[in-house]
Amino acid sequence: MRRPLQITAGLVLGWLAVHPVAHAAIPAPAPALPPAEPIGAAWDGDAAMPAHAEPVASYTLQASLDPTRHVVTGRGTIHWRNDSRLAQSELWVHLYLNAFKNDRTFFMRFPLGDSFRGAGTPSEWGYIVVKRFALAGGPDLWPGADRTTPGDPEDETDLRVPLPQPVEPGGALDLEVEFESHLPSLIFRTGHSGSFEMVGQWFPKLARLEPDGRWAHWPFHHLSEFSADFGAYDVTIDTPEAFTVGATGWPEGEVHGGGRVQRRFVQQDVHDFAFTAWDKFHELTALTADGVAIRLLYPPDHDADAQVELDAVRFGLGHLGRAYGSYPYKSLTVVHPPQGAEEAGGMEYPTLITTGGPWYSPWTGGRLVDVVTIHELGHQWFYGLVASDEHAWPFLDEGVNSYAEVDAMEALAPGASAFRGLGLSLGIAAINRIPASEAERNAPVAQAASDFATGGDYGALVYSRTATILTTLGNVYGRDEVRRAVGRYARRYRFQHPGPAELLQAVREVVGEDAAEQLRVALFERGTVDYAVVELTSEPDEPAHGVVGDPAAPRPPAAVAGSPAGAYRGSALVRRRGALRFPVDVDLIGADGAVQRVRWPAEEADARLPWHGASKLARAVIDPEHRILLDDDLSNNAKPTGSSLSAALVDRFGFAVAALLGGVMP
Amino acid sequence: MSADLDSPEPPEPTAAPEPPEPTAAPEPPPAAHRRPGLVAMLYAYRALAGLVIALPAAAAVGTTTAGYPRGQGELFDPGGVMLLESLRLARRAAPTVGAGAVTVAILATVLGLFPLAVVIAGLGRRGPLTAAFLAARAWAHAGTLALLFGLGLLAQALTAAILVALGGKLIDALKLVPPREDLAFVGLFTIVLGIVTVVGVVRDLAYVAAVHDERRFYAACVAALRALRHAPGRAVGGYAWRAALGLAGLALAAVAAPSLAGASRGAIVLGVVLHQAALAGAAFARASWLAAAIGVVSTAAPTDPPSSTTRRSRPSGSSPS
Repeated sequence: MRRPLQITAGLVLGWLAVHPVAHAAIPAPAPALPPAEPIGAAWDGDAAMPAHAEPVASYTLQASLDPTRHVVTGRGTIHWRNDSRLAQSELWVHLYLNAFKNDRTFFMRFPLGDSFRGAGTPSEWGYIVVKRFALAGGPDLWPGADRTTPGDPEDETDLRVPLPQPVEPGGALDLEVEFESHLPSLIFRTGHSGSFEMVGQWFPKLARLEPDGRWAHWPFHHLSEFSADFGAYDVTIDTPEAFTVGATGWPEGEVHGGGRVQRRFVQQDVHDFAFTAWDKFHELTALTADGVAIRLLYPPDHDADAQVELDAVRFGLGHLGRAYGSYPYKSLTVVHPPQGAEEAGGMEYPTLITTGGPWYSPWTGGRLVDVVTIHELGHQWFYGLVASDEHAWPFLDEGVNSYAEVDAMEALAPGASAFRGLGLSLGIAAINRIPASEAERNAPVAQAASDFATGGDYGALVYSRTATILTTLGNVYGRDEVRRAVGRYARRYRFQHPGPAELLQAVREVVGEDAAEQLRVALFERGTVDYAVVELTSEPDEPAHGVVGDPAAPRPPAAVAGSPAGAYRGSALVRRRGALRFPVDVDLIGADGAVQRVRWPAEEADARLPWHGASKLARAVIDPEHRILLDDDLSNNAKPTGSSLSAALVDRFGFAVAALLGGVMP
Repeated sequence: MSADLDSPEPPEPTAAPEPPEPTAAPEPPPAAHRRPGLVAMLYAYRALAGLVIALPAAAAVGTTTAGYPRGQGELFDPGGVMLLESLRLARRAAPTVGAGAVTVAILATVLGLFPLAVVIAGLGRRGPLTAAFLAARAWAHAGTLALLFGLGLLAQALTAAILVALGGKLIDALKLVPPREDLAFVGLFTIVLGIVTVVGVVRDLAYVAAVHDERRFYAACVAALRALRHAPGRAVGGYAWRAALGLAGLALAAVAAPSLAGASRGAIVLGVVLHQAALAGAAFARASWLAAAIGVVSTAAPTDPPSSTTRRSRPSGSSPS
């Protein structure tokens, strides 16, 4: 008997091991998160926030743009400090412009499918040539550097540079660099379109060194963004005089000569630098009450968009600053790319964001321009200042920032944060809910960018589902509390590169253990929830029939009296499916229209909610205010199901169709 | 149904009881407001077709909120959570509902030739009308109308495609940037719409020539073109202002109908009344135009003597004007 059992068990386990469906059905266990240290209420305000980041990698660069050849020639120095606990005998350098070098790179090999960003092949390839990468006053290290990404001979975006001598913890070195960056035709937020140049990932950039001595380095993946150490950037950009330049940092001055102009931009406490140049930019400037100089660069005839963007940025700096810590920089540049360069829109760099939208957007009723602008502005916190690892935990920047965007836009246009018109108003939260629901079982939200199977999954889970999770937490446990928790996280970890454990800790402290657990399950374990009304029962509340208690004993007077005449009692059977559990309101509605609202903690999967009323229990509605946006299916939240036809809807649809037919009919 | 393109001597239309012939000097045919029954029929047909096509879609969308106390009022709440959820859940039924709706719409459009012919026949005749006469007249010219409808639609589509392609290339060559580029396309589409509308006007004139003057396909087309050449302003202008009025009424009703978010029964009834009034107005505008078109065709292209390309239900004197 034992052997057949062993054989059967072996076969079953073997099948489970190799069968793809089995893999899909059994989610991988969530990684154990390292414990996060307590944060404390002191971080609910700005007073405790550090004024500056510890500079680790600082760049002083001179860049000359040839807009005819679309080439940036650069040279300069990098000052790097070993901020880890281990000596370092090598550096890792990201040459992300090489992602666009040919169609065999790691980036370009990603199957596009439904990829939601950066689709297509550039008509002109882009790449970076490093001509010198030397220790200051010492040997050129580049000849000894690896030529390709480890394990990927076709990719040149993630290169190891051995050092002649280890750099001890706390030690520093200075590097001299020379390079030539050939910009691709616009792809994935980088490149040129006509004379418009969007220059990102354009210089040899050191990967980030973790405190434990590991380098956070990776080849440029199609779904991934960036992560780097903080530092000070001092960049001088040389362009033809006709070109307007927008860049990371504060403009420190410009020098004209020979038909060209050199503009110097300086910024500390940032971890990247990008710039744009175009000879047709229009410009709009403003100064906020907090002294932030806003500069909008936009195409001709987009004045209305620019005004919308300016208003959004003014609002956003205030709202986001109050929620997540004040904006620490003196400047913010907003770039609206021209037609044909839309791919450059919707991107964030420190103190520089790109937005987008057609010129007629302000008149459509849609809030595309506001939404994109607020979203990219939010990245100044959730990417810029917090600086989580965008490759390892993309939900910490794109997802948390999408929540911040929803929260800000709802404050700006309650109930109509996406669209108002035709008698309808749509909110971004409701829009996010759709892809979030559709993709909820595909993969965990909390995983590395490169682990997502498709761009569609990445977009739906990282952006929409994270935002929907946090918005739901806010709807259930308090919007102010969740905003305060995210704010505590953002302030405490400003310039600190936190991970998911730190966000969970902040939620645990401010909102509670239960909320933090729901957040963890939703992020790491594909947690879902679906509430449903299963059945309703009610009957006249009459004295019990049959034998009650001791048949020999006289019946107690109360039992004989029963309830008031005409009263009903019954119950609604409600159900919660899925691993997530949120307390929820349930409306029990009598036939006479009387509503009894009860709170169901939803700790158990099923519950019978009692009904005592003057009429029969006619209807039950779970979550009547639609607070739980994570609810899989809202059609089963109410029962009984009546007619799906209403005069109003049939009238609207019939009118619309008849009106259209009038144009087609003979 | 006759195939009058190929047959030199088409079969006679089904004999039908004729109302007494007018004996007075030629007078304009009755205007649309003198034939409210015909207008009502046109309106009823369109409204009914719209209703039949819309019902499955309305039911699919309405299923999600069917259990909620406010029903489909939930769909129009600020934020749009239930609206988008309804669309999401209805998405699975969309291909089936859509295919059914398109099929019924095509059928309704083709069958719409019959009420059209009835309206033209009725508007073109003074004095009392009988259902049998209208039905017989409509049936007699159904083949010609179908041909005119199909080829007219094809002509409109081809005209639009060619003009948009050529205009698009021209705009591209100008290397305009937004908003000029977008405005140029708006201008192009407006011009194309205008030209396509003129083709539609010609088709309407041909409808009239076919039913009212009982011309066959080719003769009807010739008569329509002659009418357009003879009185272009009267033809196109007569169509344009009526179509504009009809459209304006529809747009006004769409905007003025009360929001359904938390709408009371009275508000819903008001919405229904507004919508149906606008549809009736559009039907009236259409009938009014057809009455005017009868005048345009009759003036510009008086009925020819019987020929191999002209069909008569009676030997002579059939002109109702």
